[in-house]
Amino acid sequence: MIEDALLEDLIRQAGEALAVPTDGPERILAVRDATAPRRERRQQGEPRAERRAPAGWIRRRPVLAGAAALMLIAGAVPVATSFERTGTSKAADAARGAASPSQLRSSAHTNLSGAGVAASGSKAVFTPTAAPLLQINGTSEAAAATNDAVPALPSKVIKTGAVTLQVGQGKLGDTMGRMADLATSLGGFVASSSSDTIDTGSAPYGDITLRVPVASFESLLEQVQALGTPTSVTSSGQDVTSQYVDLQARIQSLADTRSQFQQILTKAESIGDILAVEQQIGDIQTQIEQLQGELEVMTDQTSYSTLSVHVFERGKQVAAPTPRPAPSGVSKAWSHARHSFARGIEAVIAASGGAAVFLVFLGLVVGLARFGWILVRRRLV
Amino acid sequence: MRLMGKDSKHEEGDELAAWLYDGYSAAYRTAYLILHDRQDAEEVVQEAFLRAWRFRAAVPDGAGVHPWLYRVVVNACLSKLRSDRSRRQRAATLEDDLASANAWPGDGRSPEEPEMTVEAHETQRAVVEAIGKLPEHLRVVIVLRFYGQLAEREIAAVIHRRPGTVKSRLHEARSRLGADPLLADYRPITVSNSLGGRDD
Repeated sequence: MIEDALLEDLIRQAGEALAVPTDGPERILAVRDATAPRRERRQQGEPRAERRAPAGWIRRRPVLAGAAALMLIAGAVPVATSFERTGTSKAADAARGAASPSQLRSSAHTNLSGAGVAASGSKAVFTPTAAPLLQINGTSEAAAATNDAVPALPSKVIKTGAVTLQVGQGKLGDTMGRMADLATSLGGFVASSSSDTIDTGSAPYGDITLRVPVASFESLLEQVQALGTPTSVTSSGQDVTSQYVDLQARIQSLADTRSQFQQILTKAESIGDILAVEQQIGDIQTQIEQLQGELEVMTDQTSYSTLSVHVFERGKQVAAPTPRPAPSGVSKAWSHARHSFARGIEAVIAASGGAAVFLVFLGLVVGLARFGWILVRRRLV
Repeated sequence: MRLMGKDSKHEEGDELAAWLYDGYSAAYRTAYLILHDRQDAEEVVQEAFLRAWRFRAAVPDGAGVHPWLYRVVVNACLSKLRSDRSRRQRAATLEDDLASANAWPGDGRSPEEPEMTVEAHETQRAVVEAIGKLPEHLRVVIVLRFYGQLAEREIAAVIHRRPGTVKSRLHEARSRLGADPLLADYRPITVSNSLGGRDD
């Protein structure tokens, strides 16, 4: 048998004689720079003790999983709420949105100082004598003007409004036509239009959505109201400047990362490397296109304001429904039982829905945590 | 041997660059001796260093980073062997991989040095080929023992086997290498000091 000392010398010398790729370390660093999250790269300059601090996350994984589940559930609640409120009117939505100070730099409701104004929920209802005075002129530009010390970014504000307009009998078609002309004259267009003039017992009505350049929004709003008697007017301005800038920055960052990968691609030698880098480039390209789509939508929304107008003719009264005969004792009891049963089923479904969502999220989080733990155990030494 | 020059933009304060600066050569050579494929060795070492850097918070206290890094590399090699075992049979391009002419810039060696004789080159080639002919489970222990300088119990910890298993595998590997006609007539090569030391 060969002696250990001889074997050790032979193997060590043979190992030391192997050529080492000179660009190997640089390539590894390039891959790390291109793929590591920015947060990890920032940690490079920190003292070692601080960098080691995150080691505890491995031990606290169950706690983190629980926190993640709670966050998911907390995130799901607003979504569910938003689904529930889809039944409310657009005007009410606009009014509710305008009340949120965190999102809106400016919001405008009609000035309710006129006599005979009644409030119904969040919707302002005008009597015919109420002056349609709007304060939307005080939008983000005005707010920005009060803060001269801060270098002004070009504000990006999404302006929307809704008007309910009452017109005289037989004037529905004419009014809608004039509104379309109005939008065109202001450099805008009609996004959608529909009307119902069939005599079904109710007053003929129509809906039209106008889009005009943001600068002409107030003018459009005033002129539309002059075409009839406004019974409800809401408008809002949502400042999306920060989201806009953020989108631009994310696109730029992804474009930079894509460029880095493209440079790596030129140095890749193996098929595996090339495919992996191309996959990364494809993923980044998809993200860029998605963000660019969002940016284009936002640009469109901040370039053109949207005004939805509901027009109806006055005069015709809606026929009152024929009162149904009061139910007798047995039928009344049967009806009551039927409704109680339905309410019970509804209550069970409503309760089980929340529990099911919770269980699904919990299962997902636990599964992910377990999978991650298995991976870490397998891969780490 | 230092592969990364002083002008490297990554050098200052970059932990991964420091690891690569100190340990890339040894890691690559270990991976090559185990895998016997240059491309696989590069991939494995890259993957191992990046994985180690990503999970650097798990570096064990006290022992230092290099033994831990070495284990990560070896484990990555073992994973590679397990993942594409059928590919192991292909011939290694030893002629390209062995240092013949201009392999290591900065090493201070040149092909004109009298020490790098044809005989030495042939010996190195024979050793690498002989190791490559060993079954994987023997190749791993022989490389870790005689190139990695790991003790038997350390090898046992790395490959998750008992020390007795490592001992028997080493014995078998030595027997096979001793019986290999490629190594039958070789003796230690007495070359310059530059060949003797490890990088780290």
